[in-house]
Amino acid sequence: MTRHPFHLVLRLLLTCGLAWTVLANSALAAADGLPRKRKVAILEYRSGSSALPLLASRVADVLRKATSLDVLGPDQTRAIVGPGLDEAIVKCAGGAECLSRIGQKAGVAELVLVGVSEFGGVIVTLQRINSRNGEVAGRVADSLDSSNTPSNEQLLAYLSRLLPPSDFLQFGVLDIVANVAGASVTVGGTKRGATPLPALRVDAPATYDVKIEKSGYVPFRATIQVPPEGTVQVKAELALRTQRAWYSRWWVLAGAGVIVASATAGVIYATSTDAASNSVPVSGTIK
Amino acid sequence: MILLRCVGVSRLSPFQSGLTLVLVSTAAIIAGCSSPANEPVAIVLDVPNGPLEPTGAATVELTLHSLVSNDNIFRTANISASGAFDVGEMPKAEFGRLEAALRSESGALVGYGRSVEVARFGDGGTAVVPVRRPMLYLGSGKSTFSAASGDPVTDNWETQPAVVADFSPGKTPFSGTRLTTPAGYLVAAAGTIYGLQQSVKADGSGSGPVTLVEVKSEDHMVGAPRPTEITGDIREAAGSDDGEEMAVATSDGAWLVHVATGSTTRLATGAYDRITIRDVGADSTKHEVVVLSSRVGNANNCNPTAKLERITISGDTSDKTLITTGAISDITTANGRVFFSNVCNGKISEVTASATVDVRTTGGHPNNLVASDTQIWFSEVRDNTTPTFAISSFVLSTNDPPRLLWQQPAALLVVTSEIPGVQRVLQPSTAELDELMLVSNEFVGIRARANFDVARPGNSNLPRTMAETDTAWVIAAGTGAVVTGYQSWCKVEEECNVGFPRDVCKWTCANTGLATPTTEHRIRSLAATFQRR
Repeated sequence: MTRHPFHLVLRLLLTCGLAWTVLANSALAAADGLPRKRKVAILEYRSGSSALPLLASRVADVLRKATSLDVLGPDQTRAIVGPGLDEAIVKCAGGAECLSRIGQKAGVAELVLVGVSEFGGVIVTLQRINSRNGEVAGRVADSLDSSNTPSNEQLLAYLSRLLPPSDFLQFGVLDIVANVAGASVTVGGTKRGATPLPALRVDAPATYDVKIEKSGYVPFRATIQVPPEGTVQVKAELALRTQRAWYSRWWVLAGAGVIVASATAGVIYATSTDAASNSVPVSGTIK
Repeated sequence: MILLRCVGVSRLSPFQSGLTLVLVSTAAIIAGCSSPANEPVAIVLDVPNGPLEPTGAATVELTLHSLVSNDNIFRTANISASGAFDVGEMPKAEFGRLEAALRSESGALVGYGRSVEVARFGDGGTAVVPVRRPMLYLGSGKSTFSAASGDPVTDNWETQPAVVADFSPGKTPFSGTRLTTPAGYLVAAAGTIYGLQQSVKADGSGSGPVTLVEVKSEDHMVGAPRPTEITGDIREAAGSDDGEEMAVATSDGAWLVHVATGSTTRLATGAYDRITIRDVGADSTKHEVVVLSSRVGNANNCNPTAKLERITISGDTSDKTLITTGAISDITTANGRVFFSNVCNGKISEVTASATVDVRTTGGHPNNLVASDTQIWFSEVRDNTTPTFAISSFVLSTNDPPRLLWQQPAALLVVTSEIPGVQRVLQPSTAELDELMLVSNEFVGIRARANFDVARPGNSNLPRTMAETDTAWVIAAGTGAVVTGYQSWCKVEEECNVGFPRDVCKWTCANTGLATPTTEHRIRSLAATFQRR
């Protein structure tokens, strides 16, 4: 009987024991206890200046593209806090503790307050405020020529001074599940431990060579592409190097055993050389 | 059946009975012949017995870099209270260099090392892997600041004791630990750190005879000096994987030094900026040196003047051949492979037996390189207007584009004591990254220099301000997370009240959270045990 090509491909996949799925990040990330993305709101405070319009929205866009943060722009924050947001910011007059209450209402971990004022030139300040306790975690200020609009690269330079470098890394999740425990897992040439492993947070976008191996089993290898903010699940079925078949029947084994044993003994007797297995036990100590 | 009853297995399944028969008959016949078994292999992780011994190890990760399959074989094992571990079986036919990483219960790196000899598993015996704490060493010097002219003043440079940063769990890196005596330019050969000591001239360059000193692994004491025949200003040095030899590039030539005796062979005459030494031959026990002259350090000058040359060593003779020319900025070695970077076209390439092959186009301007067996890290100074230091990496086995791991503006924040709260951000006139260093395969260290000369802005009362800084950063090699930053040198000078009597003066470097030394110093070199250059 001729099999349909699809069945052959399916059978091949199952034989190799490989299946991976790209899942929505949020569900698995939460389930596996991976760090959640920090939520940050960008607010704008103007001190009688109309220079650099929509600066806070641009800062939010730059942050979204360059970081792993969950960023709320001024409009999104307004939608949560309500139409009185701008008035509340003005009332706070730059006071961090007062602003932190807006952050609490918006449900964000931190606020970035973008201040625009004019004193000769245009003064831009970016202030990072902890919503929980109102502490100022960082502040950057620069004086600009009123005819110059800062580029996105310039905004990113400000933000990289304001936020920790780790915020500028983007990640994906690699969830490796194997059918045997104690198999060593290597991802992109780096040892990540032994199965069962919690889901791994890895740099993304990137391609990783995944290797899972255990003595006595056929090693599992795959090349996996991990998208940013995505989760890739790798299910590895490690097959035993030998499997039971007709030749595992007792009388076959018994007969073969006697022949093998006799042959082994004969060879040993005849040559007095070590013809045992192809591997050696390795142990060690720290001295 | 008599045999089965005899050994009491009559109630077993047919399969179990058959298997038992096999085992019993095999054991009986083999025992009768008194055959020898496979000889076990013992791995000794040789740690320094002293205050610098790695402590708190709960697991060991062993990787055999196979010279048979050109692949890596990986094993992990728990470590008992007595320090013993069992890594199971290894194929008898394998041989290669062994790499060991000791980790604590929480997975933090406690110790790291690579075997100096090729380990073989076919005939029993012992494989020794020296293991050291994860530490970064900074060779240091000191100058009197004179930023107004842009140059140090006469007779102001001196060598200073090296600085040591310990990244073991519970330790605070850059907490003030220094060697007892100046060790000059620092370099590692396998698990041992060496200092190349030399007098310095007024401009900071080295001159006069060079002596080699060993920094003891167990307590950091500096050993007795061994004279060498090296001449010229030391530009770079690299140790061989077997720890026996060191290649040194100076303004006067390329040299091979036997570390145990200091005996020196001149490999080439001329000025060399970068040097590396790699294993060659079927069993990786011979060495080849690759040198770079007329290095092109940044993309502002893209003349293809740099020369990359190979020096093959056979007994007491050496032979130099040109590999390629171009705007080459750096070279590095890992696992017998040599890579180099072109700061202008952005390519990172590999030196093969007879030519070169491109391994990645970075899209940037790589100016320093370092490699492990699987990855390459490179640094750049991005954007001439607001210079930013950056480190990216890529995995050799994929075609993925490089990934930006870390970036840090080179700008300097200064404050004035005259008006608390007032700050200035100074953009550098020159910003340079001098060296990348892979520390224990876990961290990447980098050293950066910047000079500042910022004119008075318009008619403001902020004076022309000059400054210079030396900074070392250490990031996690996998994620780019900053492990620590160390500003060893930050000097500010101002032209106050020159034509403007009401200037805001008394500017100093702001505290930006970086570690700082009690006595400021310049950074001359980075070193780490088992370093690869």
